[in-house]
Amino acid sequence: MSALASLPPDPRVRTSIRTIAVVVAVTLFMMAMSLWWGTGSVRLGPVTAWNALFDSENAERLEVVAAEARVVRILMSVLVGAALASAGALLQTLYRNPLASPEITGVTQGSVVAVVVWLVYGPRESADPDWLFPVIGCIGGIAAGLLTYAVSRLGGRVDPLRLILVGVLLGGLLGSLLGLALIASDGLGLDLISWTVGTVQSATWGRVGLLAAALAVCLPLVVIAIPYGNALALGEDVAQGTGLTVNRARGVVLFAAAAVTAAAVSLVGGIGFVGLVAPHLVRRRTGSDLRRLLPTAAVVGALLVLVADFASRNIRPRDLATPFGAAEMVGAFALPTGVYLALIGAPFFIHLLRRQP
Amino acid sequence: MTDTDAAEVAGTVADLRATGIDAGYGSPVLHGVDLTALDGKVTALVGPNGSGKSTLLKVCANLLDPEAGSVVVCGEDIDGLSTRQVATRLALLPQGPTTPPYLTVRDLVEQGRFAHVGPLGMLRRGDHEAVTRAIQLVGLEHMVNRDVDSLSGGERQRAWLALSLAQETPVLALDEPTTFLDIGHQWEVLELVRSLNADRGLTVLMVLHDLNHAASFSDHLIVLEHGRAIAAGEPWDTLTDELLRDVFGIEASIIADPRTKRPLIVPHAAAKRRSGSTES
Repeated sequence: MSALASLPPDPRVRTSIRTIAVVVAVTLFMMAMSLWWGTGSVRLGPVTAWNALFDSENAERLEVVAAEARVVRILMSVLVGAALASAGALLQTLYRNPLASPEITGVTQGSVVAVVVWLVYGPRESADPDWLFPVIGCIGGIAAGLLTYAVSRLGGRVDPLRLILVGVLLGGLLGSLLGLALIASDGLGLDLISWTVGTVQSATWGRVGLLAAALAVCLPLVVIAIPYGNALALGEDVAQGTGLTVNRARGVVLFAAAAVTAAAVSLVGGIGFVGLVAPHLVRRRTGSDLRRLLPTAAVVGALLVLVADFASRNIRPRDLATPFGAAEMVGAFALPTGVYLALIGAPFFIHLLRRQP
Repeated sequence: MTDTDAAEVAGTVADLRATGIDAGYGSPVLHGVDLTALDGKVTALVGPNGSGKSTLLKVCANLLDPEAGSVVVCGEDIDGLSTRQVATRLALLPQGPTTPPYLTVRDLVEQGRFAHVGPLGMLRRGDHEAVTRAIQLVGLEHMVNRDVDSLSGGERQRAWLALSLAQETPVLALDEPTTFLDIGHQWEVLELVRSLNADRGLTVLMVLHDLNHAASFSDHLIVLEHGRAIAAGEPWDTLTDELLRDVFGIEASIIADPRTKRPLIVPHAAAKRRSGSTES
């Protein structure tokens, strides 16, 4: 056989690596900014922050508390963003639909509803342990995900279109349940609403550790799901013709995405948007192949949530309302992360759509 | 494991035999169909719309479980083979596959190695060589990094064909490989298939819509009507005036192509429908 002339290298491999490198660098910069910068509360310079974290004898008590709280939020933001963006990339490929996002598995709503219902109707203990809400949220999310899967499987095979329909229906059903619980919750309103749009405010070391551990467990599953997703993206017949057991592979990809989503949303509430947007932001550079798309989307997702959290800590509704002379009409509270995620992400996304042919 | 698989495949007769196939989607489509695609030959499956050609091809490629009958590929019953094992013996190119956006020719063709790579989908040296060979066979080596959905119809079909070729199977099944192509690209794809058969000894089974394509490019014809194989054999023996009138609904002359001496069908009118066959 004649020697094979080698084919020209794929430029997208380099583009993807470069994109990841740049985004990681920007993320690290943002992490530092996010640690140092905090209007209204404690200001930490690089030196103060270092002392507060690693040399607490040379720091004020308040500075130590503030620095730790920020580090925890930063880590939580990054983990949640990466997790949801990965889930989004897997689901858009699985459903062969650019509108797919973690929410359509029903997992997000299931998790949020479980936590809210527990808060409103559950026993009122004086101090809930750190792990209680995440565990309840996870159970709710996984239960909703399994229900979606089971209902769409009633016909014998897993049909992507039916999965979407059932997921959306279940999401709506759970949404109305959520409304009911919110109405019934006198006094808890603001916290609960923050939870439904997602917030990293409730992050603690214990919860960050919990999420990190959960994602570490999910990682092998995601890695296995990548080639399955790539094959499924070509359609059922082609996937099976190239040697994929389609129904099992769909289950694996769906489960990987659902598990990662459940882990993230059970710790921060119903953060959406990042799972939809992050893969779109990078797809043109990395291509549709998940081997490049998923890791690149993950770092972009991490950065998105980090920026949203940074904004939510530093731009409060009062700051936004002041130019309009409406400062008195809003409180001094901070908006939850999820609100800023959409506020920042949506215009950016529209800008991107305009540029695309 | 896959290496020994490949060796097993290489040592056997690369043919495809389906016997007594009953199959359908809820309601039956195929009724006791026999099909043989001989080693190293091109076999064309023809028949009017809705006669069950694609269904039969799906059964042969293990995409659809038949209700009765058996399919034997390279001497082995596909019932006893895993999906991966089938994919190392027979490659199927479905009709009019849709390509995701932002997927390069290389990304697409690499998917053809799915049955050969490990569970993490990492391509080894041999896989890369197979991908390169497949892309060169279809003549797209200068377009490996182009997105498939930016290619012309003919190039796109060649890219998809390369995916099937990257599977490096002895048997290749194609479902209407010329759909949506203009006449020049139709011939380009069919000539490519013919040369793959002639140069590399691939056994080819393809569904063709155009009877003249079938007559020009195949060694064997199998004619389906209402889910039954009603004729099979060499093109000159199979294509008759009666068959064209009764099955395909055309009055036509069958002449010898002046160059190749193969049958050439020249239709001149739609036939009057037989009584009782009102199905479309």
